[in-house]
Amino acid sequence: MKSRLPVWPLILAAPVILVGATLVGVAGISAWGSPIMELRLHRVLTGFIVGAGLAGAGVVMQALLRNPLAEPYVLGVSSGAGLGAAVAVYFGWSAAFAWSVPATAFVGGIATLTLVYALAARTGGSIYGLLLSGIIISAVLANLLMLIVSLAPIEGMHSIMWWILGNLQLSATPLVITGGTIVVIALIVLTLLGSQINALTLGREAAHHLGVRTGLMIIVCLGLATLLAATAVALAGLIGFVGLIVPHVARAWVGPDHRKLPVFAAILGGLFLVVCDTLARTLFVPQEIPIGVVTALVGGPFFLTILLRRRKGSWLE
Amino acid sequence: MNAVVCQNVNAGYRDLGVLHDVSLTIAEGQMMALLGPNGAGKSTLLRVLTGLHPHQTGDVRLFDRDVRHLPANERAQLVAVVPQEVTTPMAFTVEEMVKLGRWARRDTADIEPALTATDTLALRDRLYTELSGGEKQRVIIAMALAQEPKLLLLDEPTAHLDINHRLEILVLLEKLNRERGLTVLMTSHDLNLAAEFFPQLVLMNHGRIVAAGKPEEVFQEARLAEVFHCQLLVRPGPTGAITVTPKR
Repeated sequence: MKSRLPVWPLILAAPVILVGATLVGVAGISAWGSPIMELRLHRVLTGFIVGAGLAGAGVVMQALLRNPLAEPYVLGVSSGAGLGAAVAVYFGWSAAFAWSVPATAFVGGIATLTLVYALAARTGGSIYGLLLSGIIISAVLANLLMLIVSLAPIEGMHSIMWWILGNLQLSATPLVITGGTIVVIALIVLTLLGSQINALTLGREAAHHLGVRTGLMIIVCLGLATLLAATAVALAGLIGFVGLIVPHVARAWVGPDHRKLPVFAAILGGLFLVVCDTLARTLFVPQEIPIGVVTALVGGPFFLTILLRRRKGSWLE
Repeated sequence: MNAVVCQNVNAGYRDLGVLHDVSLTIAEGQMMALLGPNGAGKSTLLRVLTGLHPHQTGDVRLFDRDVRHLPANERAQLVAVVPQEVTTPMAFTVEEMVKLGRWARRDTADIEPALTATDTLALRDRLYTELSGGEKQRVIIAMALAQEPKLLLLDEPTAHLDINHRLEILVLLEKLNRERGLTVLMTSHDLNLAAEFFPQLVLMNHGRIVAAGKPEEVFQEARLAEVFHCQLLVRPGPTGAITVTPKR
């Protein structure tokens, strides 16, 4: 029998978590309205948008590739974006123009996906062709990235590595607003396509028989997922774990209906990343630890417990 | 009107020709089984009929519409397909699965008739992944019925089922055909059940249709020996239908 949980606890928890994360800082709890609060609010919003983008992208990748190990970076977005950012740092664009790292990261991510699609189309356009092309291109780009890192002067190398580890400090306000808009629009479109994503989880042939234009739908949905992932990467570098695990928890929570799953997972992912970032800022004051370390160390055991307790409703049956 | 008209269809994969000059007509309301050894082209023919695989030459029409120019949702309103097996990694309930069939009609109309017809109403809230093979196949047929198609294509839908559940599926198909006038085309390896339940048989070999007609016309020992490369005895069975038994 199905066993699904109500949505309202998450809806109630959301404002509490967001306000709490904005109040808590290095010096304990700050008063509302102080200047540091504004900076922190900015960071909390960035974290929410990035977490939402990664979780939404993970939901779609797992559904369309029908693979529980799929995550937002599986088609090479991370290595493409990483290479783009490294190029901006290496050639000194980042010093001259603050937007150049997120911009080149975004362009790198999207360009990589286009290349992966083009290659997969030549191998017959199957999902496996897509996955394999993604893995191959990823591997090549990741090593090109390492080449640039090894050639870069020491300060350039430091900023590239810092970006690869992921952090929520970099982004300028207009960038956060643009990123937020992209994430909201992509999630709305994915929700409208939810029935067709549901059909595609039965496999491409079954979806075809149900009346879905499968070729078009796969390109549109994977394109939107990549847009979400590239936006998240452009705002905060590479943050692992969120896009892989949050979709599983969201599915165990509300079921696999993609007419509501992308948005629910996005809210869950956003809140999760905000909590992790608050821990990263405050656990080892005055030292700040990389957020990716927190997402893995805090999220891993927590989500594993949920999966083990509620495995009937999830993928890991 | 004819449900299916294929004329001189050739189709294949890259350089490999699979269907050679296939012509087939299925009148609306007919119940037809498509038989033949592995690799005869049965599944490819079904894929061509549903527009899943493009034919190279010839003409394929469903209810007088060229299948190549049929928009996806209109096609899904005319023809539904039940494959050997449908798997999903998602924990959908039976109700959620069957509702996917309504995507063809772009509405959320009641799926209860489809559940009732397939005797799956009691399974409604169960998870599809937890059902037995026979139950799963009934749910997939319910999903196909939710499309309200005029033609039902089945690709060896009973291949993984025991004799009891095979019988259950065939009795259901016969009932749908009789009561709703649903046109049924099913591929099968079970010659005896095909002869028992299907008034019209089509026998394929090497991508060509080698015989079509009533079971007693199609099942002739010499022909079956040539197609299946083994000796088969054709005799009238206790139910009146023809039976085919391998000779050792």
